Formats: sequence, structure tokens, C-alpha cells
Amino acid sequence: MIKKIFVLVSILLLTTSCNSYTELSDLGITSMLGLDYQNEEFIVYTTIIADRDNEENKEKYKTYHATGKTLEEAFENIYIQNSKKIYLSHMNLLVITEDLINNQLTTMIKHFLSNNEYRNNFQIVTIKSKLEELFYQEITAEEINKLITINMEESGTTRSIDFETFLKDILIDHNTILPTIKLENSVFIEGFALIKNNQIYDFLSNEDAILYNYLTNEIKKTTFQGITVYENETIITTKKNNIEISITSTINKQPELYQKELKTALLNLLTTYQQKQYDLLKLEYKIYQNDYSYYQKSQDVLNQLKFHIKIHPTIKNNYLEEVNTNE
Amino acid sequence: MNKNKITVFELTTLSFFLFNSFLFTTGIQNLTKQNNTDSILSILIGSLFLLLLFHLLKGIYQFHQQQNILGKIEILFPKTKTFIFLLLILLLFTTLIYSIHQISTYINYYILKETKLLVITVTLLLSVLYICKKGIISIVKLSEICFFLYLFLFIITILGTLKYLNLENIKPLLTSSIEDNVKSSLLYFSSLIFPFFLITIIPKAVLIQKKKYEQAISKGLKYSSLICFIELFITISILGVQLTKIYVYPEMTVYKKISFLNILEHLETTLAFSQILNSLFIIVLMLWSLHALLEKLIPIKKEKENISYSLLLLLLIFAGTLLTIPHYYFLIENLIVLGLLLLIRLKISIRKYNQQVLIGKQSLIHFDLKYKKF
Repeated sequence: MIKKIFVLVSILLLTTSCNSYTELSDLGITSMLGLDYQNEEFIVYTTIIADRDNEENKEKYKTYHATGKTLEEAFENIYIQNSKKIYLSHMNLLVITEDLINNQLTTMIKHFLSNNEYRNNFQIVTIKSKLEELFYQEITAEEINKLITINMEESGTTRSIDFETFLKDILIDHNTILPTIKLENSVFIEGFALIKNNQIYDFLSNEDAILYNYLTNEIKKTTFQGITVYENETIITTKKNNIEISITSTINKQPELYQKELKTALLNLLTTYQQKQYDLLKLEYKIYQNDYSYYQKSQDVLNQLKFHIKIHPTIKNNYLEEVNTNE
Repeated sequence: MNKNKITVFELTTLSFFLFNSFLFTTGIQNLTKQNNTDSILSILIGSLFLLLLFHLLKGIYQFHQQQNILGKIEILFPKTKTFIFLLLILLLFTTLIYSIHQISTYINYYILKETKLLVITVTLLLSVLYICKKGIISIVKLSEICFFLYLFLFIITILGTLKYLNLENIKPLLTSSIEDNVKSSLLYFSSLIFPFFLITIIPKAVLIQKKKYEQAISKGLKYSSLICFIELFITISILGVQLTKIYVYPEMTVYKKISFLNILEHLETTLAFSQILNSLFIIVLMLWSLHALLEKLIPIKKEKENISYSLLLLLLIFAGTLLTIPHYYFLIENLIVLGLLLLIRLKISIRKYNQQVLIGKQSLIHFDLKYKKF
């Protein structure tokens, strides 16, 4: 009996965190992380949820920044200013700069993959302005994430990308897109940054971002050349090198004009990037998935792609106008 | 109810856990690295190979049903038994180090991040020792309870991941060469030979319904293959083959996604317990077999069992800190065990054949004598 109690007590002591536990108040719960690379040094910005023990201290978040030759060193340097253990499991947003993407994107990816504390479901954006401005303007991760979500639903100028989607895209063919923000008194959405071979390749303006979202079936509501789009569904099918894009939209007016202008704009965007050798929609991979034998036989699939776009607009019923006509 | 006997279902659950150890010892990542999306088929082909092996080894289970595999070796190889036991001790010892290291690092990495690896290993081994000390019947009975727990966790995983399933990620299928398919199927097959050996530690006579012994093992294998197939299917269809290949335990990344109504979140640590169950029974049975093997070589009194087990554990911990067993070594060990099992099977067949010839000769002599009398 004594032996049994001894075994049970020792197991309980060793596995129930009686040993080396961390108090919740000792954790610096990070909500937003910013990474930059300047003069061969990493710069880490972090927003930590502040203590609410002290009623006088009404600050919701505290910002810290540090530099280091490696990302790990930069994180360690944050501890010099902060007595709390940086807890990254609840991180909501990662903001990265162009310099970091162009110089140390793979290092950053390796850091996130090797550190198990990250949940890899946080949103990721790139910033055109300086990180310092963003972090010291008391703009929170929640605000930026809401800005992206609202624009995704209402204007169609952006879409949210989480770290895992970003990583998956990079692993497929080394190209991906990231939503871009910039600072001018407050935060603005600035289309997408295109990444190819671990470098910033190009930027898509807000107008082009809408077209990109059309093609990726991410449009919920938008305005295209003065025409309001209430609903949209895009289906892309591949038959060898023929890419058939079918767009069904509910709009408020001018279906013919919408059909003509949207088709021209989409074709223009697709062929421009096809000529630039940038697989905007990862069509090569789609062909690899859907038509493997054709993919094996063909060389330079991207250049051989032929786009066929069909747009089916329907006018949304306006019950108010109908009532007026009847009168 | 006979307390010293086990039911068919209990044996099924134990064999299920032993075969399910694949998810832990080799894992989804290694399989996907070998054969991309076609690794789903590798599990199916591999399980067919395993069923064939099982039918081939049936003769071992039927031979001297009161004896376990060690007793059978003693009967079949009276001259070389010491060498075989020493070889088995070496194989079990190194595989145990590999398995304990795998599970301890897994717990350390995903569950008890702040706890030292050595503390985790010692605690785990204490629990394993406690189960081992209870004897083989209790181990099998425990597996039944754990099976329901595993099933509960698995159902939660399926329900939580349904909304993330994307069948596009499974494409393209049937693109790998025959060579790649065979290689990956053999990877699955060769990871599961030790379980076949460990099951033979339980003598057929222990079962209440002896006739259903083979059926229980076969069921355990089939259930485990199904679970491995579903687990692999879910992982690839959620993460895609590229992400599955880069994570050591991609299942954990899938578990991290699970949330119910945005209220029940961060369930990965709870769900990770299923992976511990997958490894627990193989470690327990290995330790039990290792001790039984040592008993065959050095007679150990029942009262001194505590000391012998403790010394064995200390030796394992000490060797574990010095040795690192790579995965390919684990596979080679499995293949050596396969060779040994086939040798035992062959010897049984030869013995049976000789006996039949002897019976034939005896009946011929008997007939001859009768004829002479007549």
C-alpha cells in the first residue's frame, strides 16, 4: 500500500506542474509581433497585454522592441526590458517588412517552425511603412485584423492570410501573396505584396487586389467600375492547358458593361503575370493535381495556359422600385 | 468470470494498440515523405502484406498453446536458445530506448514544455513499471479501458476536423511509381513486425475462447490500419502534402485547429494523449518481455522482481542518455525479428512434417506387425 501511495504521489508531483510552473501574471501574452531586418540585424517589436493589477495603469498593451544578430538573440534582448516570459501561443498578428522578406524570409519561417509555442494560425501582413510607427501608435492586432476582415467582406480589396496558408503556398512553388498595410495617420489597406523565390516580386494595387479576389473566389461584396456587386461566385476548372473561369455575380446595374469590363480587366491581369512568369493563381499546381499525365508531358505549363472567362451577371431585385412603378 | 483469463475483445484492443504504434514509431511524416499523397494507398497495401504475414505466422500461435513465444523457442531450439534470447534482449533493449526517447521528447515538446526530459522519462517509466508489475493479464485488461478512451478522443478529432477537410489536397492520386508504392508499403509493414512478436508473448491458452485467438489479432490489425488510414487521410486533406512532410507530428498541427463553437479551444494537449496511448502499450509489453527474457537467462525470485525491474529501468535510462537510435536502425531491428519469426515458423513446419512422417512410419510398422500375426 505504501509503495502504491509513493508511486502515485511521485507521479502526481512530477506531472501536475508542481515542478517549474509559471504564474499567469508572469506571462507576457503577446498579441502582435513585428519583424524587420536592417543593417544585418533583426528587429523585433512585440505588443504584450499589460497588467491590470494596478488601477492607475490604464494601458491595455505595452510595446517592446529589441535587436539581435539572430531572431533568438533579438527575443532574448526583449527580456532585458521586460520581466515577463514572452508567451506566443495567443499571437494574433505578425507584421513583416519588405526588408525582412527580401533578406531573411527563410530564417523567419524556420524560426516559426522550430518554436512549438506558435500556433501557426495567426494572420500575417506586410507593411510598407516603418514598423516603429505602427507599434508606437498604439494600433492593436485586433484593429488590423478587423480592418482586413471588414475590407474582405465589404470592399473586396484584401483577404486574410494565416501563417499556415502562407507556408503552404511557399512550399508549393515558392510564390505567395500577403495583404499589405501602410500608415498615414491611421492604418490603410494597400492591396497585396507578391512574393516569389523569397523576395518581394511586385505589389498589387487595391484595384488589382479586387480582381485577384474575383479569381480566387474571395469576393463577398465589392464595387467594380461604379457597379455594386452584392454576391459573387467564381469557379475555375482546368482541362489540360485550358483554364475556364466562370464568374456568377449579382449586381445592381449595367450587366453588359460589367461583363465586358470585368472580362477585359481579368484577362489583362492574368496575361500580364503570365508574361512575367508569375503564377498568380497557382494554376500549374492545379493542373498537376487535376491532370497529372498532361502536367508530366508538358514543358513550361505556365506559358501554354489559355484563359476562357465567362461572366454571368444577374441584377438584384429592387423591390422599392417595383412598388414605385406599380403606383 | 475467470480473472486469469482474457476475453477476445481485450486481446483485440491490445493488438490494436500494438499495431497503432506505427503512428508513433514511424509516423505519418516518414510515410508521406516517401510517397506523397499516394501514402494513403501505402497503408492499404501495407496492411495487406501484414495480413499475409499474419496468416503465415498462424502456425506459431497454434504450436504448444500453453506456452508463450519464449517457451516455444525453448522447445524448438534447445541448443541455440541462449543465443536467440541474447539477440532478442539486445533488440528489445535498443527498441525500448528508441521508443522511450520518442515518447519522452514528444511529451516534452508538445505537452510538458517546462519539464525536464529526464523527469518526464523517469515518470513515464515509473508508470510503465507499475503496469508491468501487475502482470500480462492486467496489461491486456487495461488496454480495453484505454481503447474506449482512445475512441472517444478519436471521435472528437474527427468531429473537430470535418470542417477543415479539403479533398483537393488529396490530389493527385496514383502518380507514384510501383517502386515508390512498394517502398512506402514496406515502410508501414516493417514498422509493425515487433507487435507480431509481442502478441506471441500472450499464450493462446490464456484466452477464454481459444479458437478466436487469431481472429482477435486479425481484428486488431484491421482496426489499427483503418485508424491509421483515416488519420493520414485527415492530415493530408487538411494540411496538404507539403505541410505534412515538414512537421514531425503533423497530427498535432491538425489538433491545434480543433475548436468547438469557438468555446472549446486549445484541445491539442488533451488530444495528444491518444498518441501517448499508442506508444504506451508497446513500451509496456517490450519491458515485460525483456524482463521475462532476463528471467529465462538469470533465475530471478518473485520477491526480487522489484529490484530486477528497477535495475533494468536504471540501465535503460543510463543507456538512453548515451545512445541515440536512428529510425532506420529501428526498421532493421524489425526485419531481424521478422527473420526470427519466419525461422520459428519454418522449424514448426519441419517438426510437424517429421512428426507426420514418424506417425506414418509407426502406423506402417503397426500394420506390418498385425499382418505378420495374421
